[in-house]
Amino acid sequence: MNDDFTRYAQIPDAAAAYRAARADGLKTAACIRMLRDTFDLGLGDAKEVMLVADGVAASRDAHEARFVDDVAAALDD
Amino acid sequence: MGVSGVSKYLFRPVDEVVREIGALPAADQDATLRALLAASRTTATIAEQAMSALGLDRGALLEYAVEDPWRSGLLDERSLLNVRATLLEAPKGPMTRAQIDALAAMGIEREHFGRVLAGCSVSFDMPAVTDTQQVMGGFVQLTPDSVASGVVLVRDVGGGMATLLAFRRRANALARAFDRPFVDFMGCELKNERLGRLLVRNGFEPATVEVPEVFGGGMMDVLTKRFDTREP
Repeated sequence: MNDDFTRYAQIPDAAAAYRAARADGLKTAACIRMLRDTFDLGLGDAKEVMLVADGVAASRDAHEARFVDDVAAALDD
Repeated sequence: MGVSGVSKYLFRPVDEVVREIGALPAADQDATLRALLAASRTTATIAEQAMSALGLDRGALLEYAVEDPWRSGLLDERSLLNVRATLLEAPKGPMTRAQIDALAAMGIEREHFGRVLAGCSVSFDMPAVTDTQQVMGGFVQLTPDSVASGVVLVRDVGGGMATLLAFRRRANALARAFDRPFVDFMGCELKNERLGRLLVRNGFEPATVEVPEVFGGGMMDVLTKRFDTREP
């Protein structure tokens, strides 16, 4: 990957950097690479930053909890 | 890349060359195709076939191709007007319409289609069922007998069920389009214990696998299960 994330490295907050990356049009995978590379995050932690920054959920755990019933139904379908 | 560098693509099956070029990083693809376009009439023809098959017959590379002295006519100026550069056009090269449609439905960018063919792990941003909002991010990879399909992030707040069913349906369609009997579903780096227990009760198994480079590499914990797409 020939990524240049120097612009985001100047932003001290991971959530703010993520929002800037999204505003720049970066896709999900590129945003995760940026967060992992710039803020030294694991994959799970990068996911959590994105979910919280997007206002999707308060945490990764809470976000996944909401999918339990949907996943159960999808597996039964 | 000089003339000697492109000679390795001569006198070989076109499909093989297309796969090889498709597996290159984007910048190397561009450089290789430009070198092929510039070297000779024969190599330019190979480049134009590869560009068409890999969906790279547009933009700056196409402008270079149509100005090239060796231009064969496989690519025409209409491409510059985006008449041909659409997913709705009849496919050329080694991909079928069903394959192109299935890749597009998963939200895989056309410039990465060649990497899928080459067996590389490629990221997707799957659009919602009802609009173009990207609701799920993950990766797919063709293996000899399956489509490995990992869900990394679901961003859909309200349409969880519809999104999950759409993902399953689209991954199955992708497997059928590429004649793979199985889909290996993976939930990546899951945290919620209830969700984990539910998946395990339904036959998903824990594993530690490599994170695709497109998501930054390293290792990750997944829950994975193989589904037979031939079952009704």
